[in-house]
Amino acid sequence: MARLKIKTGHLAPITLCAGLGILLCSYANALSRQLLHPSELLLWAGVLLIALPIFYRLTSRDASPRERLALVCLLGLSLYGVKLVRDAPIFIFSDEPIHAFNANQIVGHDELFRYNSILPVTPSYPGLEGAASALMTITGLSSYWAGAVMIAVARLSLMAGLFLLFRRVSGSARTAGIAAAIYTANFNFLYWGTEFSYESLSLPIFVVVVMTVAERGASPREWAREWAVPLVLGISAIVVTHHLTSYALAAFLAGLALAYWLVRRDWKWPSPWRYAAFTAALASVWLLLVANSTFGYLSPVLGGAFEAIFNTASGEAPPRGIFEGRGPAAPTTPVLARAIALLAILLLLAALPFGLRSVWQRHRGKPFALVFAAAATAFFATLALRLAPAAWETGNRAGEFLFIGLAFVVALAGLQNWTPRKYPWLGRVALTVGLGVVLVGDAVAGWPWDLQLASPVRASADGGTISSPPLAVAEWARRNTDEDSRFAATAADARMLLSPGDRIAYAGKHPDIEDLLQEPALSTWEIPLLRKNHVRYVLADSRNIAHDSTRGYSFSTPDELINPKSTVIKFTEIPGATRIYSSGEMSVYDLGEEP
Amino acid sequence: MRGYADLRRVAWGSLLCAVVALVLPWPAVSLVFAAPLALFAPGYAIVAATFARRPLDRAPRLVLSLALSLAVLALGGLVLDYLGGIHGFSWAILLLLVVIGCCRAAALRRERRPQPSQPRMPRPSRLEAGLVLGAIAAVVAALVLASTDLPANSAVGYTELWIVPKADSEGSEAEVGVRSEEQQTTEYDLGMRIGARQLIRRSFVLAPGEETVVTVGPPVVPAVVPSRSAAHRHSKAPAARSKGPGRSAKPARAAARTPSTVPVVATLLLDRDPSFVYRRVKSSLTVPGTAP
Repeated sequence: MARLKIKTGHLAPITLCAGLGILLCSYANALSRQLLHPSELLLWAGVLLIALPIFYRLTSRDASPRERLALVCLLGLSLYGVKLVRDAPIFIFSDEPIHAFNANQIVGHDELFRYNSILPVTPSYPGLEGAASALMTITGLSSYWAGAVMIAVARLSLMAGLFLLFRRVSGSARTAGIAAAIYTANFNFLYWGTEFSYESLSLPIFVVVVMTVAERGASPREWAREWAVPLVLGISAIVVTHHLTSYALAAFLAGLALAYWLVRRDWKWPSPWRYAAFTAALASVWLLLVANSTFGYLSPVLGGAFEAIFNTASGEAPPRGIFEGRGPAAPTTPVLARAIALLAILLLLAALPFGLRSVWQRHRGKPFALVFAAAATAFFATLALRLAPAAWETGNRAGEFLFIGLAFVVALAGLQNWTPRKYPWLGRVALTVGLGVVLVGDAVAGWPWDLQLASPVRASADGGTISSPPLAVAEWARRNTDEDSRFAATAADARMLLSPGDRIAYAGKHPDIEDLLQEPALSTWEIPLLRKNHVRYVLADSRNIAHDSTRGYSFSTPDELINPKSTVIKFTEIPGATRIYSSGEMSVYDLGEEP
Repeated sequence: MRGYADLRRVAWGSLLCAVVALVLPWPAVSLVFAAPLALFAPGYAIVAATFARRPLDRAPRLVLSLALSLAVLALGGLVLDYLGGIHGFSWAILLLLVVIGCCRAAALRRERRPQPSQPRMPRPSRLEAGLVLGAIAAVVAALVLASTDLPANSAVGYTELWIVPKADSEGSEAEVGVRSEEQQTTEYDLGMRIGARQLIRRSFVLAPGEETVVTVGPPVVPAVVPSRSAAHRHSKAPAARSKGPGRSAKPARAAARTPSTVPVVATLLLDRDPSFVYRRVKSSLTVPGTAP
């Protein structure tokens, strides 16, 4: 019997390129972990080795839809690999220890909704950690590896969901592949969006829900009941996983229902207004009954954003410098990297009008395309938020959702179809190079330059293994203090104490541990604050970088900035307090049991 | 489920995966079985049950299988929390209930008709297979390299010193620990003073990553000859070498009135610079028989 041959296209050599790209990124990070200060170009060479062959193949006309789907999945997973080889096997992105602590608490106590001292809102959205607990409890895996597998599968869903969504809306697998590839160039795709954090799970489910709505819209009315099951499940999962994603989904579905009305002048099938209402209702019920601390968490962020926009616009406050790091030890981004980041934005902006024209000419009767066009335009509005200091984070988070629309619109710009008679490949090459610039540029804009490569938290020395001070004190705390012990610590140290330390640790402004640790002398409010929060141990750290939750996890270097000794030794003045741990720059003071 | 090969495979495969994943003691191997059970089968079964009469295209079916499995995991935690316990066995039972229940529902809802053909897997040539194997080898090498601890010679080494109450000693004994995070093997002198006069000294050598713990106490009470002021153990005995027995253990003189606690101070000196106090920590010990 003749065996049916199914073409794999160029998948195999491209897969090899992706594998070698990940290896190159791993090598760059290995050099960086040895503090040999390799050029970041090595990392970007690895990223481009992954991406460019995929981009180029996706622009071709002869790849099959199946090959394109495989390519976008390969792209998403390979770029996730760049993050994995950066800092395996320890969580050191700022939100990761918080969620890892929640997952460990679930596994350790067999229940959800345990307390989290740094981000109290996170246990109220236990979707991610609950899901991770399944793999952790069934297999015995650590939260790191369970989380890594979980996020990898979520990434796979994200990329495949994007491809199917774009294919359904555009009617073209080629456009869909390019659009999905463009999405990987959003600011947060390479690093921030790959954290073990609730949005890393909710965003892929968001995309699949939107894809499901698109598939539902293309099916007959009689299928309505069938589509309800995946939609209700997906929406419910998002609501219990992440607050902002659930609100974004409600807004997206409402906007889509409005677009359906604009196109068809009715609210009948397949308008998704019922699902918009369901999402809003479910998110509201969850907010009021389970997660009411979300008000306190989000209102300062959003309120601060509005205030910052107003102050910046009115000239009362200076604008935030672009490429300005948030931490106290944030260095500046090199000029070349800034130029590439700005060029990336300019390229996207330049493609926007062409894409919008294409939407208007070919897709204006499609509600999804209208919503995507609106999102693409709104994306550039959110860039302005980056100029207002307190609005930066709001703009950054909104960008992840709006970039879905931008990716679609930019893919419709049609550069891949530009075939000059003499150089018919020129359009494809130009698009591939442009996508490479956008990928690198947006990654530079979305993540601090000095954190693109890893810093060591463990190192080999003279045949043994040594740990960085924050990691060592966390491991010490896990071995030598009671499980319910409470610590006050700097932002970075507290995160390490949460995971891998598995201890409750306070940091930041609520309660005001940040000022407590930075003031050179004890004030009258400090001891009552510690007692009120049942803090038994104070971890004083004279490393200035310890207050930076994105950078403070690594080994000290000889040129490190050190705070005055008085910020550390002042705790000896607390009656009954003794220093029970010392590692040089770090000391743990035992305040004794509560009177 | 008779007559529906895909449903049978998913249901029995899930059962097998659940049992094997729970039984295996090696997490990485267990993951090979747990991953399909947790990350694919529930979604597949739900899609099969939901779209039993109107089969979906393959690609949306696969995407929904993955995403709905994640959704089941996200929501399943709530169910188990409500029912009273999140652990491996309860997760396995819940996932199996979803998978087998939905497969059964799918079998009941499906209409008798020719089954959709099995997905045709592409048959790669030898060259293609070699390239893909090369890619897998590169990724494995990348992950191994990422997980390997490498030397960082310019990182500043340091030493940890701590003192904590010894478990089950009711505060009368403490453990003084020293852990070297230095870049090279280091010689230490550790001095521990209990109260005003009881002094214990230890000298030892630690390689990077090694630690030693010394138990001190209970404090010597008046007219009692100290029989066990210090016990010394190494966490990694072969490499952590003590330079000899403690040099002195001076009994305290009888006091007029015995306090309930006495301070204990541990001081660590580097052998290469004994004039400089490298680390110092402090605690207190309960005098036996005087605890309130």
